[in-house]
Amino acid sequence: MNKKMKAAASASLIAALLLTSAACGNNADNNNTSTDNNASANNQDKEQAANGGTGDKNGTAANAAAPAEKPDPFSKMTEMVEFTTGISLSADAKPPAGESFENNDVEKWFEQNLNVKPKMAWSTSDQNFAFEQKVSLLIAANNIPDVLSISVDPNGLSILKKLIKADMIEDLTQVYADYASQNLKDSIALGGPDALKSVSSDGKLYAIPSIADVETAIPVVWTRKDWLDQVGLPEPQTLEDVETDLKAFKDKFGAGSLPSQQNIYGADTASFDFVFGAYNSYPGQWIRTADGSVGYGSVQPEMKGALERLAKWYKEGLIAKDFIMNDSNKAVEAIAKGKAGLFEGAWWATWYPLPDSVKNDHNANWQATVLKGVDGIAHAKGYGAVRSFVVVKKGFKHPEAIMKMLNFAQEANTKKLDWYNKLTIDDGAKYLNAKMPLLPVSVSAKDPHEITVRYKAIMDVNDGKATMDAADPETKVQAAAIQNYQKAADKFADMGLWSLANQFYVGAAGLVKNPVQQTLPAFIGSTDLMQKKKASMDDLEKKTFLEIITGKKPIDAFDAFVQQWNGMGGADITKEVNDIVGG
Amino acid sequence: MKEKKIRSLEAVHYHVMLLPTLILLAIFSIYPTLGSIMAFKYFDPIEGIWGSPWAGLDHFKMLFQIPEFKQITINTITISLIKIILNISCALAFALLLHEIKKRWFKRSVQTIVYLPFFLSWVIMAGIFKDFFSIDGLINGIIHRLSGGEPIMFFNSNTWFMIIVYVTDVWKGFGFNAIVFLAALTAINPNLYEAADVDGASRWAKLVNITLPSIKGTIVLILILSLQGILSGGFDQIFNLYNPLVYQVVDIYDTYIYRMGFQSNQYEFATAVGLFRSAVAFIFILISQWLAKKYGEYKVF
Repeated sequence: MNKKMKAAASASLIAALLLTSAACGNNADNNNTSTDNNASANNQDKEQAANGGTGDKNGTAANAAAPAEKPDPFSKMTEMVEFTTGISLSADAKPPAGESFENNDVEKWFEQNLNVKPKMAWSTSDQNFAFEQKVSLLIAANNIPDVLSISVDPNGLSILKKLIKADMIEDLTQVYADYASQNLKDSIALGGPDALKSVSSDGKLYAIPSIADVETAIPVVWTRKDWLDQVGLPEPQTLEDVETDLKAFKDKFGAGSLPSQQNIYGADTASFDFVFGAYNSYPGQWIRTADGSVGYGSVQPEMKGALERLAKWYKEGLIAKDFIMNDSNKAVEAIAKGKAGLFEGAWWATWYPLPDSVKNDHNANWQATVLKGVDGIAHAKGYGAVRSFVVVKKGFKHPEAIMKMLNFAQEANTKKLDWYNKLTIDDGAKYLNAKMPLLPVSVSAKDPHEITVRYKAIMDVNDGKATMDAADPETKVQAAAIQNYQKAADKFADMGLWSLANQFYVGAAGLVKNPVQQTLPAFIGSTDLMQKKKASMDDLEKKTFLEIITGKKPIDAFDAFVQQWNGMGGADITKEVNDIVGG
Repeated sequence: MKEKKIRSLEAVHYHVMLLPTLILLAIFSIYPTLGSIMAFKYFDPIEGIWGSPWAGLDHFKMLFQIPEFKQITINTITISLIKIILNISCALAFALLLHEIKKRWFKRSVQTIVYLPFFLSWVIMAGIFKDFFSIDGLINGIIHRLSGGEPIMFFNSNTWFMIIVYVTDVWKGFGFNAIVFLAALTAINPNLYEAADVDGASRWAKLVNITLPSIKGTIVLILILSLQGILSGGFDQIFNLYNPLVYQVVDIYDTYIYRMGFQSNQYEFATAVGLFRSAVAFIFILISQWLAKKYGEYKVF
């Protein structure tokens, strides 16, 4: 899991639609609301955001004098609000000299213009779920920081359930209603009713969710086109093609194994999700099964084919013999060293792990594609409505200050803050290569089909079918990056620009090339029984799958596993989930 | 009467010296033990361990439903016993051999060198060993040079993995025990050996009839000390080296507790496993008490 990179990618992705207005709020399903439909209700919000809050002009005074008036989502707090938080940091975060998460231009802006200042209570590595473990320990010790941003993978919703049950976090229903900006509310509405429902309990909202751009879940197969040309093979379309390519790469370049890691599914880089997807199997997710009920992906019969295929690959040496010792950072070393010509990554792999490869070998021409499944149709997993969420500790005095930060985060995310763009994504921006979190709390609300929509808009500008001036801020930023990159004399001088330009030009292009049938999770929460029993069941699952892949156990061990799984409580949990979903 | 009083006064400084240990024991062993009550509760962090509602034997029932639980118990006991036997016998053999060497400087330096690994953390050692035994590591490199054979997957194979566990454990720990044995060996009255020489005893006869009986007490002491730690030993090493493929042979109570408790937040369940482990450990302590009574001059209680 590389959360940092995900954050970097989402920051440069866009969100949504400029403004479905308050008037269109009731037809949130209509994702194609035209961008020029700026309702007047929104204009005020937007202007204030762009000006950095108008609190000093009138907002604060008005609020103080007449608290009954509608609160201003962007106004400056009357007094300095400090809050503590914990973050996960990538090992290759490179803050500019003398700066840190707590001390950088973005934080300073918030301190001056919003009177809100984050303090880092602690930080963890972004590897091996160190952050989730830290949070769980702090929950048990009843000592969480004021604000936490938690990712749904791998167990965020179960952590949320614990927090709610223990009464450790604020009910944000009122704060959200009063202080969330229209832009944020509209974007969250794009996630459908599940978005707020999955972070609520008994009708109370306990967290501010970030909406998934569902297409990001699709595993993309990245191949070195320059190598394919040398061995005279076309771009891979199926698992068989992958085998052929790997064998050819092995003979010609000594790079015959697929970068892989111990997290065989769910990790966005170097996992086997593309193989599971090809067999229409979705380990670790609750999905609709053939009979219409909800079942656990890891115990469905489709898994067997995928595991069998992986076992075959392992036996033939197409998977690194010691993949079980690797995390994703270790797995992708081969890519940087020029010892791998094909791997599974996300569509935003131009941020991670590709820069290292391209820096070391300027000839490396990576191209993206989504494989067809064994039935000829491209299948892929999806995300639930929510990807991550922000919670506020019970008793924290100013939850509205956090809500306001999130409002700004959403503006930043939709590229509407010029000062933020200048610092982070514009040509030569100070933080373009910093690889560290700049916003103390993050939120990203996306059109579920963000990538397709955005790709089209960017390409229209790029091909001259639309003008730059008419484009929305995010499209503008991305299209400008592509133009800057194409103009650049030295294409590799600024790797940040390389990543930004190619993520859509190459990554998104590969993703949208063929239609992909995504299977969205039918259930993403955590149930009482799951809280009690799922850990030991997951443990057994991981062990069994790895044993099958490495050939320690025959494929028949899968049937025994399914039986054991059901016996350990899987059958009861499945029933529980079906009761909740009403399936 | 007076004499008795003086004697107890003389002993006061011993008790003062004992005090820090007792305090540490109270803070780090006795007080946390009270938290074991969590195994019978549904833990609620706001209420704390004491205020949480009772769960009865729920967590223990679950423990016996887990298919691997039996295997984990077997693993814990086998690994611990084999480690104790290997550690003591290697340390003893080494001490006896070293004791025969008369050159003081050589003896001293060897003693120090073998003692060094004892101070290294398993976190570091595991990293080094993982590199050594990895598929493109030093050991496989040597194997390839010498025989040209296929690389060995040390960390995927049940047999190889256990060999690595035992060998590295002995390598790291035997220096410490060897020093204790060496100290005991130097304490043997040299007159005994001189008398034996006069009688024309062979080296072997001296070893069997003088050396070993003289240090019997120390051997039993070390055995008892290791038995007490029998079910808590090995976590650092195994946790840093293992992977799901070898769970079957190497998963012990402590690693399982760690995965359930800290990685999966099943605190109550992990505590239940911990309590069960303590119960098993208690049986072993009783055994060590019996052993001590029978063979040594030492008593545990």
